[in-house]
Amino acid sequence: MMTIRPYTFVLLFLIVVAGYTAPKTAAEIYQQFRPILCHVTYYQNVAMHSKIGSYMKIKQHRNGILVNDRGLVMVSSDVYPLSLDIMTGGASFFSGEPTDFEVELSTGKKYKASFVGKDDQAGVAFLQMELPPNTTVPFITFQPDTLAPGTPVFVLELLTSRYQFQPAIQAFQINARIDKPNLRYIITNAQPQLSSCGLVLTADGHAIGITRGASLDNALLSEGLDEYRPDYIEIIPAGEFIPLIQHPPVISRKTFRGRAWLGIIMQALTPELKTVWKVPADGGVVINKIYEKSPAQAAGLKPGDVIIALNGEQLPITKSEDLDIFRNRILQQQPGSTVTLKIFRKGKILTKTVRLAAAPRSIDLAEKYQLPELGFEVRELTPGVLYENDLPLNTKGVYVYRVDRASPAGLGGLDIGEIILQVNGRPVENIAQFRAEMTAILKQNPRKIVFFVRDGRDTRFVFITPR
Amino acid sequence: MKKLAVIFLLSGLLSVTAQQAGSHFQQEIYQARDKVLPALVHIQPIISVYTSGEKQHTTVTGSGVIFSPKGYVLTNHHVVENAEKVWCTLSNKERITARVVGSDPETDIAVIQLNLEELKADSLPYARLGNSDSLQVGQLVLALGSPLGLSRSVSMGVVSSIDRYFPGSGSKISPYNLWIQTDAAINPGNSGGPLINLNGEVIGINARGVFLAENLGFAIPINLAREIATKIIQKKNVKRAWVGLEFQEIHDFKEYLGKPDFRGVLVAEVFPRSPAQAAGIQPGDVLLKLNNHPLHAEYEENLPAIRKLFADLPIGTPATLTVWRNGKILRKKITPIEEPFHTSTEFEATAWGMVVNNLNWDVYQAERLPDFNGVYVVGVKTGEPADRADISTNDVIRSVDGRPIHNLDDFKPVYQTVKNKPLVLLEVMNRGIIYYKVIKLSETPN
Repeated sequence: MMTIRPYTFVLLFLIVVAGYTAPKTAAEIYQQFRPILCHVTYYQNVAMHSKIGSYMKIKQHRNGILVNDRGLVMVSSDVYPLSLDIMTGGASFFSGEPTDFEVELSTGKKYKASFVGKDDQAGVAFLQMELPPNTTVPFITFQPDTLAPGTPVFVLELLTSRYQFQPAIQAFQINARIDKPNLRYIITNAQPQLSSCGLVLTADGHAIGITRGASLDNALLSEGLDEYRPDYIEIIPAGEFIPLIQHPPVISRKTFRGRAWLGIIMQALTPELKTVWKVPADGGVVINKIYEKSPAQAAGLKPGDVIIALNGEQLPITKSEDLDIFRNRILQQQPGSTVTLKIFRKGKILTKTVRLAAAPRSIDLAEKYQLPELGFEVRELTPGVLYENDLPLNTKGVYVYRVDRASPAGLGGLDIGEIILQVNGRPVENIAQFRAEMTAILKQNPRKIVFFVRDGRDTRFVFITPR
Repeated sequence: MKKLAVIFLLSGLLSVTAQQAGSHFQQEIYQARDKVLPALVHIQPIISVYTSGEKQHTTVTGSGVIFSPKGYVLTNHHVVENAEKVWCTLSNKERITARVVGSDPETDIAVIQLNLEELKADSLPYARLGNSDSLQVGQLVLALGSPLGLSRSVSMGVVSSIDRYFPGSGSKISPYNLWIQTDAAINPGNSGGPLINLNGEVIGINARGVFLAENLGFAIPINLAREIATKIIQKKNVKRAWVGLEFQEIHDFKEYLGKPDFRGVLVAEVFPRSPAQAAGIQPGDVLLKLNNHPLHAEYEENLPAIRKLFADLPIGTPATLTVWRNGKILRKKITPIEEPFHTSTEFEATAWGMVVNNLNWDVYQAERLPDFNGVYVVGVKTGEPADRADISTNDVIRSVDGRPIHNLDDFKPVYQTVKNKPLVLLEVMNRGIIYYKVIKLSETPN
């Protein structure tokens, strides 16, 4: 644990005096905000290769922040590793849903909690504590603020298990401000303690953001290890999640609603493409592919079209890194709302109005059916799976989500990612019908079961010998 | 002293006895060796390789066997692939050049011809090709060749298996044959060398070893090699018919149907836009006869023979299939077309810093092409225009400067016309998605 030397306070004091709010000492900040920082534990469930439906439970610890008096707790979105819609990747086939959430308050009191929802864009998730009636908890109200590099801040977060998850306060200064694609503040040469969602406070006692841990960057690791800086703290400014605290996202397999979605694959309008096509704009989005039955298709967009403005605003997109600008502008819209696109198509300018839809949910949230006796699990065919495999949306079948090693299905050669189109010569319609077919077939103790499957672009028969 | 002398004597006697018992066998080995070793060729092609999109030259080592007084040599496709010049060392250590007559990647067989005008010796020894159909498991064989470049090496073993099938490699690599497995040592450099029986006849062309395994070598049966070599010498290439079917063995299907006497081959896949699709063949059909030839694939080892029957059909001539479909017998007319993809020599688009080639099945499937058109990128040179345009290996070029590209023959003239333009638009397909890439000749004008 680090101690803060007295002269640091003097320095901070001098800087903040120039402002208008009375600055506080680190000790005062700690005293004031310690009660709203809580210790969240849960079990991460990692699917076992050996048996369908069995999970290895790993106990996890996170910082939690109390955000209303009824016990709503904000945590890092990595507590729920399943992806929600087809736009957010990250989840692995081996992640199950997290279970047994528990929140320990600064008083030492522990309460059970349940998962409410998450927002991968802002990197936060919400838990609801199961409080007894008429019980309230202290909570914090975040304040949106813009900070210049050099501004002193405090980070309040829990230490790791080695130090029994005791709270720690540390003084930093904002070292950099990043504007694209989302506003972020960076603290260099600092180790975050207990993963993400540490509380970031200004010297005058305003909660202005939370820390975002390196664990959320795992997806980026594959793109370049040299880019990976575990010793940086990224701050998500409060403005990004304050609306989420007021209206927390609620997800379950049944009530999930995706973010705003256009339904295209795109590339940036480089200066070279602009010259070749004589596009009258300095940036834009070139459409490479349009998903079937997507808003883009309904609006009559075509591959090769160049989107040069969104709702009248130019798009400064000339390289692939800039594409997040367009992505974020779409994500800021509500599903069901309309946007106006200015399109350049073969020398002509067109205006298209697109009614955005909700992104289809991911395969992780799809309805499932497990057959432990044969050693595999199938899920309903979601649009995401069909898009990924270039199959028409009216394709009928079920998706092979998991296969146990050395199970009848595994020995028969059934593979993850295949789509079962027929069972014993009968077409597979959906999960419910497949379940009914399989139940009837298994009752007869068959010697062989035959699946007709699609594996990418190939098809074949898989013969399964039940045990 | 005396005792020691006795022991020496005894051991001497023992070795003489052993020599006498094995002498007949030894003689047979010598005789077999002497019939083929003079026809053995140590092949050192100079090949062009493209390291990150740039052409470089290197030498490889392989083996071959002369099988005709005209100087034809059987070897592996993978030995002479991309060869610009082929050097051959004969058994008398004479070094002469050869030309590649033709090559068939699907069977890994190639024929080269020695440039006999360079030959100083009076006559050219050649080996007799035997009959691989009469091989027996356990039969003694010798492998001749240049393992790791150690020329004129002989190793001995037995035939370990005569119907080895490689399911892992699927139907795309060596789809038409089974392999002879032997425990005669086969190492890199043995490739293309003969596997011979004790009559001194070539019964296989050694082609594969297994990395980190011992005494596992694989040879292409000589009957197939002879057939391919004949086609190569007569027509320069091996044209195959294509119907667009993938097959599966019937063993499990029989059991599922509860029909132990059922014979045929199961249709696993019907390719879009294929003759089989036009003929109305469906996955799940069981093919009973091709013309009057009964079809039967009990196990997967029986599949290569069936694929070969279809590949050998005359192109453009309708054939009759007898089909079992859910208990009914149907007859379907199917007209094979020529195999859609042709291997060719890689083409270096020097001005753009990339190498392209004709499509193959792997690229067609992996990049999810909607049809058989395009050329694919084999390599890209770092920092050159193609690399700066973000073109990467396995991208399929579908159009250049607005002109559609069907194959390498289309690409070459278009490339020659536009290669010096400052900006050229390429439509490139990657996993079924079209991307637009612009080749820009120089980053900053000089």
